[in-house]
Amino acid sequence: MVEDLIKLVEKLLVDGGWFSDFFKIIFAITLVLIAIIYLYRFSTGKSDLLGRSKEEGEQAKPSVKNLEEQIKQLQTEKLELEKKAESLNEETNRLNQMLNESTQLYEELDEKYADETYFMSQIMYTKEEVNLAMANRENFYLNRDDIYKNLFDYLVNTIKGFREKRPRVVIHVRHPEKPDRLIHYAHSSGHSHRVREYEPLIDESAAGRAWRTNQIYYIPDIEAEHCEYDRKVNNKKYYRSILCVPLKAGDDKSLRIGVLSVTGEPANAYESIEIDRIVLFASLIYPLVYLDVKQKEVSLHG
Amino acid sequence: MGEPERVSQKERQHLNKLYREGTISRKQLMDKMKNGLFDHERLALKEKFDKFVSRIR
Repeated sequence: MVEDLIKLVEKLLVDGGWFSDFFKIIFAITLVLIAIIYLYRFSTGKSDLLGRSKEEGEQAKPSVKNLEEQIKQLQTEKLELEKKAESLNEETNRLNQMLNESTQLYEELDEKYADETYFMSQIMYTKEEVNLAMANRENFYLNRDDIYKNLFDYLVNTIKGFREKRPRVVIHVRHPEKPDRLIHYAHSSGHSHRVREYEPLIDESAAGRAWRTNQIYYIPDIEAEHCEYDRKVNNKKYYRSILCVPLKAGDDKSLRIGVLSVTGEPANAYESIEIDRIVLFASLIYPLVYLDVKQKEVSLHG
Repeated sequence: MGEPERVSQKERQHLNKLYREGTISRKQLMDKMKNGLFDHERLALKEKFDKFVSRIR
């Protein structure tokens, strides 16, 4: 088949044949047309000497103006991006600062929470000590001072800044012989032996006022005027604050049994939470003091 | 997590004395006295918060 086609072409292209002449004429016309088009494009500046189109080249090459515009646009975009980055940095810093503040607040809250749970454990153990003392009366009478010192340790150890405040606790009860005075009943460690000798007046002393009114009496600074306080007792000034809490059962004055006083070395030693805790503690030890004092009264009066 | 144990009376007296004398800090006293008592919820919350903070830092 292929061989047949080759033979046919050879026959057509044989010199002197009609097809050969026709082919030559067509070829010549084509060459002339190409030459005319080339000359026309070259003369009108549309192409160069080698026939390359100038328009396409110009289109392909960006002009300097375009390039400058592009650079300006890129610079504007760069500035905008830098501003955005700066603003994001500021936002990140602000959020970090907020996170740090939140963490600090949380830690402060957690510290208070931990202190509350610690106080709960101290209440539980204080109650346990009171129960043991009430259940084992013989041991209580033999070791009363030590038992109270240990009980007061639970109270003192819940007060913040114990080393700076140096809290001292003392309980006074009704004097069996002097109706205008209270008498020492128990005290914490840190007191001198003279604490036993002091008998607060029911009028004109802080403990006396708490006894009289059956209400808490807190003096943040004993040096302040207009506070009911026996100034003769603190001539060495080893404390500036004093809190007196009546040992009572409800508001019935006939059921009050004594006054628990806590002193503090600096002025304004106690915050309201500490005062609340001391009041709770006073309530916890009330049954023990009540039973003991009532029993003594019975023995005293037959 | 095991149940926290109550501190014995003798141990409590000893701890109170150590704190009063300044041998142990308040934090040490608190931790030893509590020994985990009443502290489950606080510790669980603390763990939750720490996880949250480490996730966003």
